[in-house]
Amino acid sequence: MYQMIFVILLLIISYFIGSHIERRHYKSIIDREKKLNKLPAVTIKTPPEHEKFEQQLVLGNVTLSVDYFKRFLATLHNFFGGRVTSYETLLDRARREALLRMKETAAEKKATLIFNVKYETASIYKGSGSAIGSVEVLAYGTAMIPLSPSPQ
Amino acid sequence: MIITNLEYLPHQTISQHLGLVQGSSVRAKHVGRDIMASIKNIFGGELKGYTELLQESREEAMQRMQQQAEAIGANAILNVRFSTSSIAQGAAEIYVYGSAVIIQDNE
Amino acid sequence: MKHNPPTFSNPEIPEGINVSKAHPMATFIKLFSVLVIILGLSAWLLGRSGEYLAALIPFQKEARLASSYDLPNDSETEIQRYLESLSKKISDKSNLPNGMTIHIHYIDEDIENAFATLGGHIFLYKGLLDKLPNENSLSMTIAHEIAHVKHRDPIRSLGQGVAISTGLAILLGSANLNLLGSAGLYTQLKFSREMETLADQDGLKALFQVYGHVKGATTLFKLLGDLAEGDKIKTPTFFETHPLSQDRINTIQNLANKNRWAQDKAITPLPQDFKHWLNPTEYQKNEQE
Repeated sequence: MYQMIFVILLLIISYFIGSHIERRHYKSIIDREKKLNKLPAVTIKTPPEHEKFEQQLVLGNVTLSVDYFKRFLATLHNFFGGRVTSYETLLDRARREALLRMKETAAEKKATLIFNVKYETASIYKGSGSAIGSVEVLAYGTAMIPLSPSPQ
Repeated sequence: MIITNLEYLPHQTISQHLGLVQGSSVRAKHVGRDIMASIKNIFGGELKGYTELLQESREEAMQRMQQQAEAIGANAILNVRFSTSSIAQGAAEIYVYGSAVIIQDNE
Repeated sequence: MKHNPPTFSNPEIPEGINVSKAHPMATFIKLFSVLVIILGLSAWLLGRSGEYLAALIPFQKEARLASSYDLPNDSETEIQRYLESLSKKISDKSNLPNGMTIHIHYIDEDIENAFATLGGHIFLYKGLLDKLPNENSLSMTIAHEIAHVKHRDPIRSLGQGVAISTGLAILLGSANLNLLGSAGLYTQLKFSREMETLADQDGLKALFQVYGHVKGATTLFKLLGDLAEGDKIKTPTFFETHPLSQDRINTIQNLANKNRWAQDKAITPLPQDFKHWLNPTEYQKNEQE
């Protein structure tokens, strides 16, 4: 009985705190994406020939975890099958955050383009294998830093 | 040492291919980080401890790859790729690999 | 002709393409209620079929299953002998099916409880017997438990429990399948309210057959009810499994009225030495003083 009350309390608290954290995160992602708009990242492998660049590998990674409420919801989704909506925002946030962090590192190096962007996603196992709900996303690519003075 | 995940570099030519170089690093987080992470796990959000751990781990793996490349006389590593695998509870292997080459500037 | 290099730009992509619009709380409530309904329905169905199948097991098989477990050693005391003869008297009038036998076990523990379990074994605790004012109420208690045995309630309840726990374990993919339970078969089984009502009715009938009236039956429940009222913190264990309500007393009363079973005849007292049998050491001390 006490156990059930504890679970319900945890569900309610984690729902409110978790959705607050998520909203704040999305707001910051959107703001930073606007700021870094001038630095395009592409998955194209062939670098432009018309300009001279210095190439450097840049990385960005983030580990995000889903809250208790959404994990509970995922278990329910698991029972019925179909779209697991509660993990969609987690993965979306993690990918965008990792890309942003990569872009931020590239921007510090005064890069103007990032080529051959790749993602690497790994679920973090903690304790028993069933307790998934944390994900690490790595974004990496080659930052193209224009060599100054630029030719011509 | 140029490290990039492009397949070739403009204005530069590869004079010699030296084969595969790789770096790996297996790390586990310590108990304190695990406890913090399990608390964070309730409310969601970023697990900073893990992010940093994996970042450090990746740097080490890249350093090892670079060491290999230097040992065989390469001056660039092209087409670098990362891979992450959880091999056991709370431990992750970071693996990075690429092609070691000797490049020369055109002209 | 000069070839123009491509330009790179980064237009904003609208939000919410990779994310479902469904509100998480709404999804949660929807899925959770559907799950509860499915689980509830399947538990009920499983329980019913388990109960039905278990009732098909012959009583002899049930008795053999029960005898493979450790039974308490009944000492040859006065109280044990008295309870056995009383239960014999009642079971003779209970219209038990052929081959069904009742075994009474007196447990010297201060728990206000009595229950019937597999194989026709009935357990009576000192704590409850101590509270009973007369033989009629004791007989009603025994008759009620005998009626449970007669209706095969213990095996039906066990079958229900096994079916539900197996079904849910399979459905939910739980690994720890604990079927017959490590708790053993001599723990108390939970009977449904319906089973209790039927046991009351049959017990009352047997009581009438033995004494020619049913005085003491309702007084038993009223007395136990008063005991529960007066001691809210420590409810007698008997009530945790035998939900006592005014409804139940009314049902008994109505049944008695309908059959014109007298309720105002003289009660049969308990044997003179009954209290002595229950607390031998205490009484020896008193006698010495």
